[in-house]
Amino acid sequence: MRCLLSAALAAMVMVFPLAAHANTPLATVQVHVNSVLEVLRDPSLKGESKKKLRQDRIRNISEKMFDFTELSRRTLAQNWKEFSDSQKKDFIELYKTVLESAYIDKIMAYTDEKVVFQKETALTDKTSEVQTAVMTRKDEIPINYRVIRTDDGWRVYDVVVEGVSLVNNYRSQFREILINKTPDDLLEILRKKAGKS
Amino acid sequence: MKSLAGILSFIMFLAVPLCVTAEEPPDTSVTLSLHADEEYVSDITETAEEWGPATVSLPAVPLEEPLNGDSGINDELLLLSLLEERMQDHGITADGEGVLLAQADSLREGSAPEDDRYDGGENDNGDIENNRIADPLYYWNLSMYHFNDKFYFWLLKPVAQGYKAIAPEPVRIAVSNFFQNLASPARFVGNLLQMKLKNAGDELVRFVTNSTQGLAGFMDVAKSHYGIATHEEDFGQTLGYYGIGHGFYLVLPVFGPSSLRDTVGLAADRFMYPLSYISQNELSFGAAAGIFGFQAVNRTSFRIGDYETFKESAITPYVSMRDAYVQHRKKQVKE
Repeated sequence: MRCLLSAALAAMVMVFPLAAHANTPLATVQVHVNSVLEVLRDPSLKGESKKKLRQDRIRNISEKMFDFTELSRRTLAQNWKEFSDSQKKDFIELYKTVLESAYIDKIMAYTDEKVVFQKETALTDKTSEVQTAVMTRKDEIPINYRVIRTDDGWRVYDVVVEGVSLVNNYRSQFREILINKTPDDLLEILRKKAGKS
Repeated sequence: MKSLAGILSFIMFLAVPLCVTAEEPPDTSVTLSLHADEEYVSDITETAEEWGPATVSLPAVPLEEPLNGDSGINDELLLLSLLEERMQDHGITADGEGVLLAQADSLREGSAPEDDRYDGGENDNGDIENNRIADPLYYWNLSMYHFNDKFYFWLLKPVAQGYKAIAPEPVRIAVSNFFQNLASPARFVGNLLQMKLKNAGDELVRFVTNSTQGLAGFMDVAKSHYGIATHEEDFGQTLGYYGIGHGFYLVLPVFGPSSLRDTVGLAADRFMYPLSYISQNELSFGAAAGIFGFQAVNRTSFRIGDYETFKESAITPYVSMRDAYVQHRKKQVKE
């Protein structure tokens, strides 16, 4: 009996992080954002020497938080079908690298700002928008996360900051590039961008 | 203050020719501006060598088949091929792929309804919006974009950094409140014109409270003590509220991205800005520019790094900024 109980407890402990993700869109986003904040506030990770470690931790969280395939597909929109399977694969990887290296410093600059998780609104039966706000001492910055239901819980596929959707913004850039460039050209541009930073 | 303004304007004049020469279009280029509607393709504008556009009017061409409303890309290709045909007929050649690329948005805006739905076969349209804007002044805008970029890195940022180092945050917040308060009458009118009476009332109460109890606006007591938040409504938003579109994209020097509509709005808002009513004798142009410069420096001191992140994240920063502007304004109008 006792053995069974401890086995059950152990199972619960192992399952718990998953369960936390699988909840509602709002709870999912909250868990991820809070874990990023924990990394940033962790005293044992402070200092310039631990920068790399902090970056890796945040990358790990973003890996669990985002659905990069969905994000890529929505960004390319109609052009998605012009990409071959291997081009799609490359695109997802490169786009992810570009996004991460562009925003990681910004994220790491957050220190004492408070994040308020406001509400979630269903967009479709598969997608939802979670409204949050970052409170600085001067004003608040609305940041909304758009999430989609996947087999392993809700995943973020778009971030909307002050009304500007990341996916829409990159879509307009890639669209103009793809008007007279091929998918391979675009991948080359991304490769350069990803390699540089 | 006066000398700061003088330095500001001097550097601006220095920088302008620099930036313009850097971005001059290739001599033989032809800029096309295509206005298309459901049935006709017409109006081709040619810009050669000089900045002043010379117009080559081509007869309107009836389309062989009506634009297919639900596929933007096909419509665009159809229009592009028609356009190329017309150009060949009239002996116009376009070199430089940037030219067609630059104009593709104006073309699209006039033509087909947006459909960027990805090939996923679901009716998930929640985040797919039409954020396109015509950009007929592409070369002007591009050079202003570069000018503003240099303006930020060479002048605004270093000055704001120096200012941030000497002025503690509470002081900078107080300054920001002060300028915010001065713009309150314009917000009041904006809310009123949009029949947002509760918000207009809030703005009025805020202006009165903050101007008095808030010590001429340096403290936002309306928010901190009475919980009355501001309701951002400028005249451009008011025009948008009544269904007036952007017209076209316009990058203003120093002010940054704007549009025809929002530039008109910006000018209208100045009429409701108290400092506009101080006579020239008491507030010279130089001093007024200095105040404007100080406001910009104060604002920037809170945002150092934002523009850098933006540039770092963008693949084509010009396009990214234009799109972000349209998206952001759309949200503001909607609220």
